[in-house]
Amino acid sequence: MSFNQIAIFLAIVIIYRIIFNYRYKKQFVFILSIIVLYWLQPNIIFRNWDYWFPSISIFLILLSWVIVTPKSKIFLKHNIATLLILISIFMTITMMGNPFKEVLILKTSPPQLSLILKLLFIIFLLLLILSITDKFKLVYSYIFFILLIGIFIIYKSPTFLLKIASWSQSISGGTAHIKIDEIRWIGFSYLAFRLLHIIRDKQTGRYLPIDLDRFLSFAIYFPAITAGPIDRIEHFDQEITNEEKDRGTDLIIGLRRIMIGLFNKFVIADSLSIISVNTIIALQSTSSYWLWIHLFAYSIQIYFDFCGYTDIAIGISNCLGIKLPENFNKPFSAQNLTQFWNRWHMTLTQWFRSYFFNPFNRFFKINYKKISPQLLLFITQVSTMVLIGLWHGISINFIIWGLWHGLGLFIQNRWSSFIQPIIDDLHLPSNVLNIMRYLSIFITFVYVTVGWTWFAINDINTGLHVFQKLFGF
Amino acid sequence: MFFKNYLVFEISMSQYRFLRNTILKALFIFLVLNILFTKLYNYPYGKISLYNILFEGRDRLPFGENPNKSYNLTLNNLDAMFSSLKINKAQKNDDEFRILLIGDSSVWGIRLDNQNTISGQINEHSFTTCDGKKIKVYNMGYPTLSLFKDMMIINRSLSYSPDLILWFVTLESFPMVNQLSSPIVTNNPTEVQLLVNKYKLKNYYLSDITLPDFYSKTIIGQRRNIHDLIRLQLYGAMWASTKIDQDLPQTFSPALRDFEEDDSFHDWRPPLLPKDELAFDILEKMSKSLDLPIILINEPILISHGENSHIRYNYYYPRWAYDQYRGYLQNFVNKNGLKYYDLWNLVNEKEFTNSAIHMTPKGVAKLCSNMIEIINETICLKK
Repeated sequence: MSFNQIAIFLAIVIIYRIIFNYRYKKQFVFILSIIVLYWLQPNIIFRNWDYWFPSISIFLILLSWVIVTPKSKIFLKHNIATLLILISIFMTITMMGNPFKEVLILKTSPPQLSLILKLLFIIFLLLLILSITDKFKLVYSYIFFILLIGIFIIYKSPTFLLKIASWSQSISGGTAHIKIDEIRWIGFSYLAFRLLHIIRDKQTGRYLPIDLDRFLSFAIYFPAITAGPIDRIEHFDQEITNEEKDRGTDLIIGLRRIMIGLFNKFVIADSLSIISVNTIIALQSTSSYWLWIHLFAYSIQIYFDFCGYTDIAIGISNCLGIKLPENFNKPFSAQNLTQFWNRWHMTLTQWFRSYFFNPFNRFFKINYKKISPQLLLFITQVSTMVLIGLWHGISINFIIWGLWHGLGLFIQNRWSSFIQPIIDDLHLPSNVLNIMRYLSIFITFVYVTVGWTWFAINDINTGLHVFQKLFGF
Repeated sequence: MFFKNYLVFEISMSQYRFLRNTILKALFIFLVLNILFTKLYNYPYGKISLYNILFEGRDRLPFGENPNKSYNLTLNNLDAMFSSLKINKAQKNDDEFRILLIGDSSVWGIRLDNQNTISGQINEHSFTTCDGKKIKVYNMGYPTLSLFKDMMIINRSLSYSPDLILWFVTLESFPMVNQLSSPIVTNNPTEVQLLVNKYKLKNYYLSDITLPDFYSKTIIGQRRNIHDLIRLQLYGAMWASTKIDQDLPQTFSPALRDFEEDDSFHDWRPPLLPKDELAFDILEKMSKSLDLPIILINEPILISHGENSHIRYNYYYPRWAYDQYRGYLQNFVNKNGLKYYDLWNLVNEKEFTNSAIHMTPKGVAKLCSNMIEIINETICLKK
């Protein structure tokens, strides 16, 4: 999100707040989230994909809602009205095209109307068929689960994505050279995880059906669409339906949080981005001393960038009377890696804990009873961290980044188990413990910072070159 | 009434008061800071620099059109620009003979890394004077064509105690209309006023300048300059780390070799180049007022052999105008007793890059071998 986009959000939210004062919150969030989904979608070099990506997002949301909602709760008046409003907004955006250059909802002209109408007809027929009976919904949910993961894998795999992009371009007759960075599907990483969470909750019987407008608002909630946090649907639903005042979510708290976020993102992070390490700088830098500085700058920059966006999302939500979960809690003051991951991108970590780490752990404990606890810890921690790495992109550098943290977590866990009793027995004076604490913070920070090499640099050879230069071997 | 009905009662009176007081206090503080900042306008805050402290100074003045790639940027704060240079903190020892190169983009070195600029290549030879002083050449070129801009740089550079100035000129730096069009001149009106008074130049140079009003001295008015100052420091770290201060893409548009059938130079047509509309007064006043040797050099230009090259030497110059200019310059130096070398046709057409004055490293090497002879004639060199 650019500064101007954030300023526009803020203005709209303040106007809403002044005029409606939390009333019609559901409707406001629902309508704005759909418009913003199209508006934030960047232009893509090949034809109409700036239109198709948000449209596919909405289709996936509708599909998942139909799958997780019992038939009796689908055909309610309220949901039909919501669907009609959704179609009206969708058709307005489509028919408007991009008439006003200043307020470009779509970046390019939309596809032909006849094609869209045909697709709409097919989609609604499909949704209708899926809604007719609840009998096969569990089967549908597994199919949808696999479909969503499949799309996610394709979107996050540079090789797959480029092949599909080239294929799409050959159909439309385009010739422009496609770069992977130019293919951006706004909010898809977060959308996929929100939908996966709902599907899994449905499969395990934890999901309580909600209306379409609230469901859709949760999936593409506009302040959190680009950088999270990943809320849980039951929590979000409580927040969006609550129109009470004085819940500690007022305009002043929200504005203060937004100001902090803007400062973190646009002053600190954007300034540091000039000197932060990337593939080009890694090769250009002439000394290891400077490379360390570029790497530390990156570490601080990525924190302020991400944390800044989260502050802005939480702040805007506060102005709307919605409390979003916190995503960061002073991660760089963590004394070990476990603490770091309890403080960094907390909603993503919690997601993986709930939907991968814990079930995976349970699976091993039930099926492989003889497995040693250490080996189990090793397998679950490393695989969880590798998956978190892959969430950022399916490429070798993110796998290495995941391994770096997975192994780090395991070693730290073993070391802590070994050293903690010894330290406890020694009854060290408080100043020595303080020194040890600061040393631990420093070591954790350096370990995390060095690990960012694999996050910032997607080329393995360059990553190895950086390591070589950093440690002088 | 509207706000009262909604904000006051809906957010509670205490919160409304807090909001109102915060906004009023913020506005007051912002206003006071802006007023105080106007008092800083003439304070050289640009001299506060991390260069030569946290990281080494630059080899040439900051200039860059693509900061993300060149780790360099164009700014207007002269104090900051000079503070970022290596020479700014370079102690001049008794055994140093300091030469400054003044001129346009060809001296600064567009499409050349620092080792390949004129100063870089001369320094490579590690010359000493015959009495044993080490020759150190500093690049003080800046990529715009204006003698006034050159004068501004010379004036500032005097504090570096140069022993010799080599001033590279070309016809495009001479037209009066060009003198104030360089952004670092236009955006430093106080400096222009100071120079016009110091060197007793024509009032013409004051006609187009606008002295800053109250608004442009405030933080809001100076926000671009402040932003540039901070970026200059950040790019300093990148310069120190990479030694890159220019984006040098592999491909570039070569200088034009074929021209329209056009014999105009600015708004002038043959037969006569109006001498009184060329800024010879700047050359005269500068050379007379400086207490150190200056060598004037008419820098090499691309001499095209393409279409209509019988009319024009290159994109800048029709033959008639350039030939007359050379005559004027020769007469001027003869009259004023200046040391002058006309190297206009020294470099082969092939050795020019993206402009009629920007040379390849080979072209610069050719110029440098001549420059070394010229310096030798003046101060006696040994290797």
